Amino acid sequence: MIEVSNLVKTYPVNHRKELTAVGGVSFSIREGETLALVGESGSGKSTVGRCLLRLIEPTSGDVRYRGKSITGLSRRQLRPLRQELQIVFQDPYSAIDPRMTIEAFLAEPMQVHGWARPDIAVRVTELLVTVDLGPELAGRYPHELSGGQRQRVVIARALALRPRLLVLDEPVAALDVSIQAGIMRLLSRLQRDQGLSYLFIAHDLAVVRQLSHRVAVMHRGLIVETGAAKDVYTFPRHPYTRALLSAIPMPDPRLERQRKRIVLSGDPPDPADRIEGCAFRSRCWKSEEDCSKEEPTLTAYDTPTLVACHHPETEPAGIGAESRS
Amino acid sequence: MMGPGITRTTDGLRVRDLTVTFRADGRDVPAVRGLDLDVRPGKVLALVGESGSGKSASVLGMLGLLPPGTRTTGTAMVNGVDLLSLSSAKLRRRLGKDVAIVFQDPMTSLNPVHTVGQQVAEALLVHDQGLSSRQARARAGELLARVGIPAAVRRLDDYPHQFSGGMRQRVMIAIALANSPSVLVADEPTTALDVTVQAQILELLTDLCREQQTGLVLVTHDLGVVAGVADDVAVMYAGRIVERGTVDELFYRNSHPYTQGLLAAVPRIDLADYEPEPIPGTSRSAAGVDVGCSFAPRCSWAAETCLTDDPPLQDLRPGHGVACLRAETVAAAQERKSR
Ligand SMILES: Nc1ncnc2c1ncn2[C@@H]1O[C@H](COP(=O)(O)OP(=O)(O)OP(=O)(O)O)[C@@H](O)[C@H]1O
Ligand SMILES: Nc1ncnc2c1ncn2[C@@H]1O[C@H](COP(=O)(O)OP(=O)(O)OP(=O)(O)O)[C@@H](O)[C@H]1O
Ligand code: SF4
Ligand SMILES: [Mg+2]
Ligand SMILES: [Mg+2]
Repeated sequence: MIEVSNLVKTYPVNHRKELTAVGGVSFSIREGETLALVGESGSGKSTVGRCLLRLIEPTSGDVRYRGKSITGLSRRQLRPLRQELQIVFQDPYSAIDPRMTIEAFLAEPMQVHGWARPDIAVRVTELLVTVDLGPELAGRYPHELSGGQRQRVVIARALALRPRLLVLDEPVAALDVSIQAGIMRLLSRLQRDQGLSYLFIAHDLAVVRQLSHRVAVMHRGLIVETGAAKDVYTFPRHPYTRALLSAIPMPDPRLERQRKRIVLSGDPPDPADRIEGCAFRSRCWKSEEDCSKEEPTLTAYDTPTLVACHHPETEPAGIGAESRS
Repeated sequence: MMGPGITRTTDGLRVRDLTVTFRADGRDVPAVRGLDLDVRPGKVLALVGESGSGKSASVLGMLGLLPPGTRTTGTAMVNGVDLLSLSSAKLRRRLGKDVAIVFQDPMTSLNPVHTVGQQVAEALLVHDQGLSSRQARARAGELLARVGIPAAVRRLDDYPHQFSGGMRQRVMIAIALANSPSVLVADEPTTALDVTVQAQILELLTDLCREQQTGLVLVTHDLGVVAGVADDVAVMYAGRIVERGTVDELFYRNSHPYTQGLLAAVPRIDLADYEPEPIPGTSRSAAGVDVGCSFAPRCSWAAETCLTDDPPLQDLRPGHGVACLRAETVAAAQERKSR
């Protein structure tokens, strides 16, 4: 349904240098599917999400929605598409104008798109019910709602114009764990009921496990591993994917005590530095000479995921498997 | 920091009946309501709970670091001294030496206009007037090397902004442990960091504390982190401890509905079809709790009495305390489930 090819976004930093936030990323998302985009802070996840909706302009590359390129469209041509592609951000506290009632906040996109007033009123009630909030919340102000309720309102607004694809940029990262679970359930139900597609951005592979069909792992502006969720979680081949999985603590002391954790040494490289070869090599335990010479590209080996690594791991070592042996 | 193998005589930290009440808009805002904590030397006590439960208010309260106008009562004994009975001048002299703190965001606790070397040296000089500035600088270099800063001596003259987030947190740890405190409080020290960096920092913190017999109070909302590093756990809800015990008791024989709810809500990286369970309703702080159990509105076990009677924190087994009127019933159900 949406197809991204060779997306690049660079930013100028002090006259001479250039920062490559996204360095040529390709992926597609099918109808009703969730692609999880994971990676550490600064890896370029949000930049990809925003380029997808053209909230920021990509430097180069192409985004096609239902076969049609949207990168060349003018603002006006883009407008009908805006209904179908929506985004939900992390922070439910800053997302809603504090002086607006919930009803006004939900109505806004429909007004912009010229809906008739009675239709808007019906839709507002419908939306609140859809996200499991009572219609009586319509008259409230955001400060009268909890964080979880606000995020439901933000999701409701994203649904107002009946989109087909949502970019979810860390939608539960700011919420307490007991509230997160409810939002994840809601997203899962919405996807089932409405056939929505999600680009789900997260820095933590645990949060998205339940919802993702496919996973793309980003590192320094590039996808370093991608594949079906079950393969990425059970047979990750890129050392960075392994490190990410291994770093996530599990709520089980016995497993934690048995686990042999991969603890990376060193820091992520400076985003503005140019690196020859593989950008992960300074922290990689598998790196050899060729890693500093040639940049690895996504390659199909004898296992289902695509990996950008010259020396991918060869043993399946899904999380938990490593600790239970 | 002391070298490996050196042990100390200390009883850790003993907090009794701590209450913290903020003043906001001319009203009292209770945040902590009668908290007891025991931190054993060289052990890690995790203080867990959701946003607003009073974790930061508790640890800042113990160290007298809350804004003026805040009322703090109770006792916090370290090395035979009650921190809460000290004047602020005396308390400052204890800070860093008997007890030290590391915060979530190292950028706000480091001074941007001083070099990292100056700041570590300063922490040493405050508690040891006999030290020359050259000695302090040399020790600062050693400390930075101990916390894993590569080429530490060369980086003494760098400023905080020249360090990554993880490296800054290492610097904060070096400063906090510079005078080998009996107790270190770390308030969400890794929450702002990436998971891979979090793993490094937690390993560093717990290794150093165990090595020098410093008791560590680790404030966190992440039960995975708790499982990985804690010896003892205290679960907070609405300004109180609702359950406490050793890490295994808490994870395998938990008996408070809130602890159970929290655990069921955690997403699992190791289980493909696991669906985390939300806790209904919204979490609350100590403000607004009047009668009965503060968790009752969200609790699936709640009975009539839960709405009127305040559940005391009582030992269900030796060393395993639960503040729930129906703790025995809940515990029995848990036993059956895990069998
Ligand atoms: N407007 C901008 N100007 C300059 N650099 C930017 C800008 N926006 C982002 N960057 C840089 O681009 C890189 C990618 O940023 P991005 O926000 O996409 O990362 P992310 O993966 O979403 O990280 P996080 O997990 O922290 O949200 C970072 O190095 C960031 O500092
Ligand atoms: N300076 C203050 N004035 C008034 N109320 C405050 C102040 N600081 C904290 N509170 C309130 O006290 C309660 C406990 O806050 P505290 O910061 O201890 O929570 P916490 O458990 O550390 O949460 P988090 O996980 O979000 O850090 C909250 O209801 C909070 O709003
Ligand atoms: S005291 Fe009652 S309401 Fe509170 S946790 Fe126990 S059963 Fe639930
Ligand atoms: Mg982002
Ligand atoms: Mg706090």
